[in-house]
Amino acid sequence: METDRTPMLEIVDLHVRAGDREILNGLNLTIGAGEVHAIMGPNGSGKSTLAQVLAGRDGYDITRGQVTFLGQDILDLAPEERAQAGIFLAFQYPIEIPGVNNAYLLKAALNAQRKARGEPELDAFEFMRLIKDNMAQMQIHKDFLSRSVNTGFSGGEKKRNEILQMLTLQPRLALLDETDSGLDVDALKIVANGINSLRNPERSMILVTHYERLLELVEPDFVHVLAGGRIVKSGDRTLARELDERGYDWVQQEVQSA
Amino acid sequence: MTPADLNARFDEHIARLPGSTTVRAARESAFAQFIEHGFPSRKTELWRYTNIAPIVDGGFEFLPQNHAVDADARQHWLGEAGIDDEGLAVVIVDGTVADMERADAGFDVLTLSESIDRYGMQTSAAEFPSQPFAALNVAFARDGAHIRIGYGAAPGTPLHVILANSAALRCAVQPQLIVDVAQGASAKIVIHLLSDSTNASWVNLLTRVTLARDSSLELCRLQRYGSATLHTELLTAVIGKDATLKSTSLDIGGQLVRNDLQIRMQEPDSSCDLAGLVTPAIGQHIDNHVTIDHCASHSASAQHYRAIVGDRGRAVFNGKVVVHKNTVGIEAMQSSDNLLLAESGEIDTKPELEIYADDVKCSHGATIGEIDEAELFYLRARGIDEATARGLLTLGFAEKILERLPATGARSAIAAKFGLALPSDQA
Repeated sequence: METDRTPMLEIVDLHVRAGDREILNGLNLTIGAGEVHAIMGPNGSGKSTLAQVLAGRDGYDITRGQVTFLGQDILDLAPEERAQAGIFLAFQYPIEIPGVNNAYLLKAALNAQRKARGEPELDAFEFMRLIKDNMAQMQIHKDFLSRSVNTGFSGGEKKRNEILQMLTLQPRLALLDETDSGLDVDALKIVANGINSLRNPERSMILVTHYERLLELVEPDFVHVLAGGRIVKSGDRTLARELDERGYDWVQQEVQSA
Repeated sequence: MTPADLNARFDEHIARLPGSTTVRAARESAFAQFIEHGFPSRKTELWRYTNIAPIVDGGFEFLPQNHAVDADARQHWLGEAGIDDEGLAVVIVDGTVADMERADAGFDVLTLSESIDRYGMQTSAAEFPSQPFAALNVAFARDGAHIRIGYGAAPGTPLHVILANSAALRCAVQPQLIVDVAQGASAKIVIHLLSDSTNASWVNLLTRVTLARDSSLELCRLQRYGSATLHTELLTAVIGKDATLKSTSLDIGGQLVRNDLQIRMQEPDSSCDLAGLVTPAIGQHIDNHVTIDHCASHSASAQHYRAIVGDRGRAVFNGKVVVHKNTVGIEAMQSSDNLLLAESGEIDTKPELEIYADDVKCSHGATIGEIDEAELFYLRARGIDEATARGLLTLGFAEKILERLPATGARSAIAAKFGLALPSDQA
């Protein structure tokens, strides 16, 4: 069937500028349904920009290229329209929002997405039943729901909260921007378990990371190296191990000599 | 309204005002104090940002005839205030107190005229030489309430005081609230300032609070006037040893609102915690002027003031802290945070510190900003549309103050005022 061959996400020749600086410079990437891709690369290579641009953050000029999600061009869509279509960004630095509590945000987000899909909104009781298991899985205490979003949370709590939101919203495509940074070993395991529990043939993921340690717990199908604003090398998960041992210089030398 | 006009009215009405010869002398001296300086002008620093022309030019009727406030009117305003239970409540409509229960659950309430008959005038204009409107209140005050919380009393429920203004009258209302909290007592009072949407009265309120040793008072003041009512107010409090005042005020309505707070940390280890939220838009002007005098050692004060300013709204905040000589261990903090929703809005905020002692911890900070883009993107990236995200963030900004107040529809009133979109089940 035609739909079976439609990739989840297709990025073609993407060029992105921020002010005078070209950050992405002809990036190509295709992600099939059910696949987990890791994107690694040195600092400043454009990894976070890619995640932000896919989620629809303002402040970037997309000068060339195309991004299609489930066959739909998304570059003109507002961030909320992308989220409603099934794209989720787990933030590298989750934003603190004093005065808006976690339960309020989660319920508003879930119902906004359900409404956009033509599904009935959940009442308070149905909502609580839905997120109870997710909270247990992320080892999040009940008090957490009445606290302001990310306000005064530790780094680990913020990251667990991102994954709780992802578990609740059940996206088709998850963009996880350095979700492993700032986590201790135990928190990393909880976060990795949360991510793994969402893996299925209908859902794809992009893991943006510096380090290989997350990839030991969430095994990617593909690993890409982003350098100078484009993907310069792709491989399977053994590439992540090699990068961890040897750093990025050899990749860049290989590219230059090619 | 020139001082001469006022003079004529004072002469005309003085005989009808409650009180003995002594009270009459107090009124005359208060009036003389007012006349000496007249209405405040914008040339004086304290009134630099606030133009009181709507009051001076208002042509108000002073002291309308005493009219009975019937049970229906009382019930109506209780409903408007969102109070459903039949507990103790003081309802003052157009300056006249409705019949009420006088004592309940630790509160003991007199009407102002009963209090004046029994104790004389409790307020003296000489206590606030720089407050012309408060002096005018002492001169003209006819009705109001004298609320006493007796030794060690701790009423389990708050006392509601409703100051309501009906559309029928355009008058200068001069109510007085006197609150005496005895040693070891602890209570909460909720003041509701209400008016009909077309009401154009001027309410000139004087509230005088005295906190004896080891007592505490929580004061919540919810101002939800219609858009044409004018309001001036002085809240003056004297705080005793180990006593605490917690005060939170919310201003949503009114055309011109000026609230002065004069808080005196009179005895050692006294403390106060003041907060306010104002939400001026569509030509409203709302001004909070706070002065805290630290007269005794180890006294602590905190001020948390916020403003959400919409189209052509103007918010003024002035927070002054004076640390007097021969005190030690004073702590004073102040924050003024302002959210500007429209370019045509204006915010003037100013901290003032006068410190005459060495062992002092004082801090102040002021911020003025718009909705934060990073916060907005975070909510939108979760699937919440932009308008709803802005609504959530605007109410979120208010929440730090609103969470101190009883739930009386303030959130939905603010949402309606600024046309905020909210999630469908939470609007």
